[in-house]
Amino acid sequence: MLPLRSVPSERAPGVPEPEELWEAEMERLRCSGVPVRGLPYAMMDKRLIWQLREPAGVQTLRWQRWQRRRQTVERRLREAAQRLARGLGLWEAALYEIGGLFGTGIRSYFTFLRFLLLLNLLSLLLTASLVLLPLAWLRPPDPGPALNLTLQCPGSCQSQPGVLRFHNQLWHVLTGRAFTNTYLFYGAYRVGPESSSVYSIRLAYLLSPLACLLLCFCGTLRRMVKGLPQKTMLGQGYQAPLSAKVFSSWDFCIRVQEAAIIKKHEISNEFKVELEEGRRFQLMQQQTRAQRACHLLSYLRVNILIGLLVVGAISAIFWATKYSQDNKEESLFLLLQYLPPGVIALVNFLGPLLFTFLVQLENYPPNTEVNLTLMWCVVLKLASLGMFSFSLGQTILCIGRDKTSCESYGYNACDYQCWENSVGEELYKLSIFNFLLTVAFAFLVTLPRRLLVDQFSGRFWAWLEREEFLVPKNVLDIVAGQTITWMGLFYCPLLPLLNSVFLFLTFYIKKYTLLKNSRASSRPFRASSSTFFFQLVLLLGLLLAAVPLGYVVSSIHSSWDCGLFTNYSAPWQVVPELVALGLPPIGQRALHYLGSHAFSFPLLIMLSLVLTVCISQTQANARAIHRLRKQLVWQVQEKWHLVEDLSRLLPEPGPSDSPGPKSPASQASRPRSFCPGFPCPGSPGARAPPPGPSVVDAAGLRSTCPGPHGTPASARRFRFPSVAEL
Amino acid sequence: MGQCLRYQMHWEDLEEYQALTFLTRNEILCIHDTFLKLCPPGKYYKEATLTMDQVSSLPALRVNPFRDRICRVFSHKGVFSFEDVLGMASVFSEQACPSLKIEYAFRIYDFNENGFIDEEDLQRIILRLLNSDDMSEDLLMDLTNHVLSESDLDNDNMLSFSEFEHAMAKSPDFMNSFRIHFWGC
Repeated sequence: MLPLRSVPSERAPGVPEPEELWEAEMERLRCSGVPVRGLPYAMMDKRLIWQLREPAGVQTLRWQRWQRRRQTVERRLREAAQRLARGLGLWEAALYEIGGLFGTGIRSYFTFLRFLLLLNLLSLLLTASLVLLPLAWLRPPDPGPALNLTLQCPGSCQSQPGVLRFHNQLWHVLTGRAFTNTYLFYGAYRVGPESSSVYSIRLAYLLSPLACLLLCFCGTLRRMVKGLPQKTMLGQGYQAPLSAKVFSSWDFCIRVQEAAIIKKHEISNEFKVELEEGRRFQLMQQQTRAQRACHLLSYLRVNILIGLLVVGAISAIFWATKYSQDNKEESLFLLLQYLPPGVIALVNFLGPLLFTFLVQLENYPPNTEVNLTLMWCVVLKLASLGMFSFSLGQTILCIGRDKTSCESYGYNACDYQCWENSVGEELYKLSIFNFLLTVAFAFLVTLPRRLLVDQFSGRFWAWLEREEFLVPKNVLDIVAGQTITWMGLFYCPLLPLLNSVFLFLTFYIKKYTLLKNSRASSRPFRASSSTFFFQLVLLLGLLLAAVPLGYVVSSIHSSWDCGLFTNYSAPWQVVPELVALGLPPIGQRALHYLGSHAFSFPLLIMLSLVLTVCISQTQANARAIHRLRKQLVWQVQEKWHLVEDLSRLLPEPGPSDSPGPKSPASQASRPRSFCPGFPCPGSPGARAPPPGPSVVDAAGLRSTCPGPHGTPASARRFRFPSVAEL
Repeated sequence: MGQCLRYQMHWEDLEEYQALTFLTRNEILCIHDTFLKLCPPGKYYKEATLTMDQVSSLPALRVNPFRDRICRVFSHKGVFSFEDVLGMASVFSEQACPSLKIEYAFRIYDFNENGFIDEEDLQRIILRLLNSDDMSEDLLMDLTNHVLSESDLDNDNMLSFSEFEHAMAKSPDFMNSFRIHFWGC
């Protein structure tokens, strides 16, 4: 702090000089750790502060100069890394255009797509570097012909001679038959027996899907946490959604007049919905217990109905998959190949329409309607994928049915010589079908619709309108595609490559659809909370993919005829074998301990303790905030009482004085402020001093003098609240 | 409009601007180009100024309902120098820190410039956000009262900076929406 001036002043004692306050402020800015570019001042002022912090004329030591250079380099590297993490700077111009035309809600779909593309490319990189490159480098020898085991299979496994066999190359590509002996599928990977000195391809193949899933989990979690709305962290009565919405609803990146008009409509709809929600909530608080029970029953009614529909839908998928696998030799073989994906697509198309219709029959608040429909769509989508994989497991691995055909080898060896390849092919077909469906919908439904609606002008066409670009539906589609990719990581290691290509093409298809063939949705789409929700759905999909993988890797016998794990009872058995071979006894004992109960129980107890501490800390913080909030209200009331007392004690103000009481501090001419044009905002004490006429001082700070604003501002500050407010 | 003297920006100036703003090198050079195209002929870019109308009619700000407030907040004595434009672009850039954005958002929304966002400011904000045919007196009063009852913690019928900051800190939407790309190149 700088010493007090010796010049006597006629100000009241205790009130600091304006120059002192300014110097104190400069000192505070000079010593604070905030980087210069984060300070809210004009460029000239920032330059001044920068020079104060690092005087240019002073002989700088060599290490200081080196440090400054290092910091610049660090900053550049960090910026480059951030750009890379955000998606390699890919499609920046397109995203900028979309944001300008449609706002951040629709833009968030495209950034999510870019994020998924990045995840897929990283997975592919991991797989390639861990498995493919060593395989190509080391060229392990073929293990030789497989064990000659006899099969006792009921019925003939030969194909009937009269079946129409499609030998079309395209068909082989679409069903995956063309790639059966390539590295796309599990069956083509072969290595010799394990040894401790050579790089273990088996271990790499086993661990790379797990590593990919872990990587995607961390990436998604990180993105989710960044966008988490803070209000859920604090206690009750602490939601300020509407005020935050008023200040943050305008998308500053919009640059087209039509988009601005649409955005204004969206904002007004949103405000009306929010106010309506608030009113409904008030009404609900005043309901009697009977009315509340009735309300709850009505919730149950529609949810049970929809639940039944979902159960019906997934059993349809189950039967379709079973039928397709059981009747592989039928003459309708071609159609049956794509029956399961077809049924899944049909179910996911009709489902949301039905759900929307049913939910709208009840009289729910708009937000609840949207959330309920969305939740059921997600449940349907994930359940259909789960049922598909379960029914595959049932036919191939005899899960959940009689195990006679799987007794000898642990899997249905009669029908499937290389069951991993079959599973891989099914997932491959599903992935391709999804993409083809996207393309078909874009060019065979949306485009003709737009052409017809633009061409004709009847009442029907005016009602039909162009298709709405619904972000939730599109996001669910790509999340489903990603879940399928994750499910197939073990059986079809290059599926991320396929998915990357699909995502890349989907971006351009969707961009074309959005810009040319769609209209903006009438329901506003808040980017932040829904981004969180979709990240959550992505995590659920990841979990759905990880559970079967874990089960298969740890308990299911691999094919005896193809692939890497022919002699193991389960793929995971490679790990104990390698540990026994490669690690020293101490290492083996340590790993054994880590996997045993003696380690996991204390770990679990410790994690529970940590969780309890975090939760109680959160609750204590919420209570403290509540207390502080009440304290704030009391202090302000005290302040108003004092102001009233003061106004009674002070003499009546003359005609030349401004109306209303002024505190002693306001009598003094206020210290200089840096702020361009007008007072610095903020409560006094914690930040820059209160506003007032600012002067251009000797240091050359550019501040203008808002002369006429000075006195009325102070009067407005100390407005008397009405009795009702106090 | 004519062009300023075509001076290349010095390397030290570029470095200094990079240290003092959140803009990347390419963005600064882009803004430099745009500025040179708009400013009056025959002047050095560091001394040239743009009027508020010229900045308001930039494509990035043309349809913004708060463009007059943005121009007022970032200009000095009614004109924009090159550094003022850089300062504005820095606050609205993607890499800017939240505290800086919140600070300037508060200044932009404070229409009557008394250091607080009071009822009158709120009403003006809401009027600008909605179309005139969606507007009604009831909606306006309702919204204003709602916002004040939620965010006004000390019950003085105005939002001080700390209350505003507190409300904005709980909204990740704000960081996404308070962003303008001035570069169009």
